[in-house]
Amino acid sequence: MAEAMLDEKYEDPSMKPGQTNVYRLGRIGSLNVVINCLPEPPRAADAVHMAQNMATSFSGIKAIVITGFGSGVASAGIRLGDLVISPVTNRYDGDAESSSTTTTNIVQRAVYLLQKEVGADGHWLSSNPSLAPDLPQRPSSDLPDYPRLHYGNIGSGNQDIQNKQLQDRLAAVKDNICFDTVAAGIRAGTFME
Amino acid sequence: MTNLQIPIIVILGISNCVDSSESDVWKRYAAANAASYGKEFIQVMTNNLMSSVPDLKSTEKVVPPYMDPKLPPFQLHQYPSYGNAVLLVIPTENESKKRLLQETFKERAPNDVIVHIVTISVASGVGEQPYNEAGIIGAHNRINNALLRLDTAEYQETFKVKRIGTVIVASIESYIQTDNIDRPTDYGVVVIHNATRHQTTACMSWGVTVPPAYVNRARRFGFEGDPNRGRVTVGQILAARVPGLDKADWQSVLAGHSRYDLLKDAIRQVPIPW
Repeated sequence: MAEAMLDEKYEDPSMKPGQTNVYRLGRIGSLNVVINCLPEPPRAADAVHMAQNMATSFSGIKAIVITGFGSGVASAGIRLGDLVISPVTNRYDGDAESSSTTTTNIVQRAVYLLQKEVGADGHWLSSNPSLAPDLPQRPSSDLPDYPRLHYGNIGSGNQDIQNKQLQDRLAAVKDNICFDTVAAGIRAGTFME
Repeated sequence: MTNLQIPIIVILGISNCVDSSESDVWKRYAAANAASYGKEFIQVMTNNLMSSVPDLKSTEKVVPPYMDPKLPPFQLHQYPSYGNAVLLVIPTENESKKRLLQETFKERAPNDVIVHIVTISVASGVGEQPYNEAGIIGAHNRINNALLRLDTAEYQETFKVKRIGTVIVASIESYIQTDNIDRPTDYGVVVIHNATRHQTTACMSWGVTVPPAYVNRARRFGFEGDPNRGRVTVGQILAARVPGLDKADWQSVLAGHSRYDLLKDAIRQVPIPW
């Protein structure tokens, strides 16, 4: 699915005949993108291992974007089909290091910018043909036909989010939401120590 | 291992909540949306549209109308007639546009004409940011939708109490022309329709050119199947990328002319079909 998001796919020049490469290379806008998929079932340790490998294989990685699905806690206002967006600032240096979350990084700035451009809700995701040509319909009809977005900033308070409701939501996300598998691992254990 | 600092973003679609079971349909939907957000997120990081008010000040031009507006005909409506007063209907929620029309009609009403004004909130059907022919279609839809609303019971009392004999609907739609033009340009179209006499007048405002990169960015967010209907205004993109810019009147900075002054000039030129 992530592969379908590429504006252009690249051939991997290092590929030898008969070798299967786990990486998919391509471009979104003017940025080069490396895509990797976790084996089933997804495990946090695998994700961390994979991120470390990618960071050493490809120099100049600016950001790691992890997409997928997870479970939410209904009492925190999270509903089926919603999106939870969590920029994480980490000092990533192998096995263990303290997290540094005080400065805004490119990931946080991009989240803020996108929010300012298109609004804080997910309306724009519901029928944007340039994004996902084969985006399935929201399977249930008693909910809005677009995914609502919940912003969490794990590890630091985000001054950019001033809206009270968002702050409440953010708190809810931070405390209550249950990210299963990968994200939880990255958050709790491995990258942040 | 070297000391790398790589920021991470986790984007998860919710495919189950603690008390419900997980389904493949939801997983697919959740994952697709997360990937879509991820793609747009990467786009935002790549395209560098950040600028400043001093850098953009007076970089764009005010240009004359691009064409004479041509409108499809309006449906015929029969409203009750109780007197000589005019009911002016303004089909917008936009305060500035509302004020422009109110002022114009008050200024230009003949001495013996009493004008009663109502605003009706209706859909334009062309999204927040229309492009090209969707601009005129938007103005037309607003008037059509307002005319339909006047048929409902909600307004029958107004006709009677205010002694209405003539119904006039006036709409303004701002849009961006990109087709058949050198540089994208923000225009306004003013349409005034006398539903009682079935007469329509229309006029284009002067336009303000826009840097194409911001228009291209705004056009990523549209409605399926129609490139001329946008969800996100070019003003929103500009305001996000240029701190201090007003999303509703970036024209003042970029071209030194307020959008509302240009619209006001246009409204002054339209003959009102009293």
